[in-house]
Amino acid sequence: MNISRQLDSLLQDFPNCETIAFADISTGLVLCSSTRKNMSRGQLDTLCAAAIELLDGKQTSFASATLDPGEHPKVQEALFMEDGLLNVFVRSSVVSTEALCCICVPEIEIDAFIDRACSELAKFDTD
Amino acid sequence: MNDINRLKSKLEKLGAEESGALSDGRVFEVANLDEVMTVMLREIDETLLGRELEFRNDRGDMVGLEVSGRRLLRVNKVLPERLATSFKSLLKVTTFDSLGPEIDDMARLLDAFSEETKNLTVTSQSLSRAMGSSEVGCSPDSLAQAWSLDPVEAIEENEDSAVTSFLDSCREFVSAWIQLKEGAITRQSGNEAMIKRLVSLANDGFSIPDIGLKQTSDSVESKRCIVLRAPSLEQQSVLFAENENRAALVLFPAKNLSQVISKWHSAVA
Repeated sequence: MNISRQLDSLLQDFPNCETIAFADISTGLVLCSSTRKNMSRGQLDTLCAAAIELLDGKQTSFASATLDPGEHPKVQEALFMEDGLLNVFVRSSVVSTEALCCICVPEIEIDAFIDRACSELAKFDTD
Repeated sequence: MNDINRLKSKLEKLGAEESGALSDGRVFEVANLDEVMTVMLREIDETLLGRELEFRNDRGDMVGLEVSGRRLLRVNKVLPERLATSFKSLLKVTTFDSLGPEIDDMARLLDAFSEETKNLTVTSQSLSRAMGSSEVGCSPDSLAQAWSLDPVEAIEENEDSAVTSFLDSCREFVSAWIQLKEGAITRQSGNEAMIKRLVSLANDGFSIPDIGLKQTSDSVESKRCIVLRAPSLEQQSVLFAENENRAALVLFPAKNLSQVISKWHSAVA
């Protein structure tokens, strides 16, 4: 299955997810996306920029380092909630510069969704 | 005290004195000793005329207080008998003094009383005895200071905030939290070591980064939060929430993510 179909399948299985974008966060490029609504290229770029800030940005790296001074690990998952929307960002455990950037509603089954997003990300690099 | 006495006298002349017990009482959800004490201090602070306040926990244990002029006069009843026997010296104190040993004794009584308490029921009735003019008692702020709690006024001030509602509703799902107002820590709860880590993060100026996803134009009204998870955080996630000039930093077990998100969503709805 190609990446585009995997994203479509993920979107279909989670009705409370509106948009999924697969991005390279080292370059800030959205490589592929699947969405229920019209998303402009600019909106997808903004979503990707948010992923970069939350997964690799100064504030979050600082938080991670302060909370565990011995490790300095990368943030694996980040969620941002505002105005009735839940943005979910999941980093690939295989290629740390790849991530899924998702727009959901807060009612989504978040644990199941993140688990599935992680496994789909891992498949992108093993298929 | 002169102002309080003058106001009491005026209320009594106006026939404003309440009589009889409140039928069912008010029920407060509490999670620990600090919250039991906080409810108690708030009730004392709201009691101007002479009243007997009874606090009951889920087991039916009861602590009865005589309160007047927003001051605790004495502990007049403790149930069950076993608890009363353990604290009989406290029951003998005729009028509380903010510098007396009874303050620490009462903290110990409340420690035993609050164990495994989830709901605290408060009822009130008129004081069954005439008060002596020399009875001054102890103010809730003195008790708060002795028990290392926030002053009562500060507690009340925070009540309307979405951040406060969120923290109060998700206690059972989180490991530790601190609440901030204009950058200063106003409340904290949970695992001490984790609180230290959160305080360190707050002191270093951690904030929600500007990520350009904002939907509303009014930043003052904005209610937003982020959750971060990193593999080394011992299965803990960190949450930073903010609304107006208030904020919260929370550490919670990653497995409780859905409950914590749901509580935030409810608090801002």
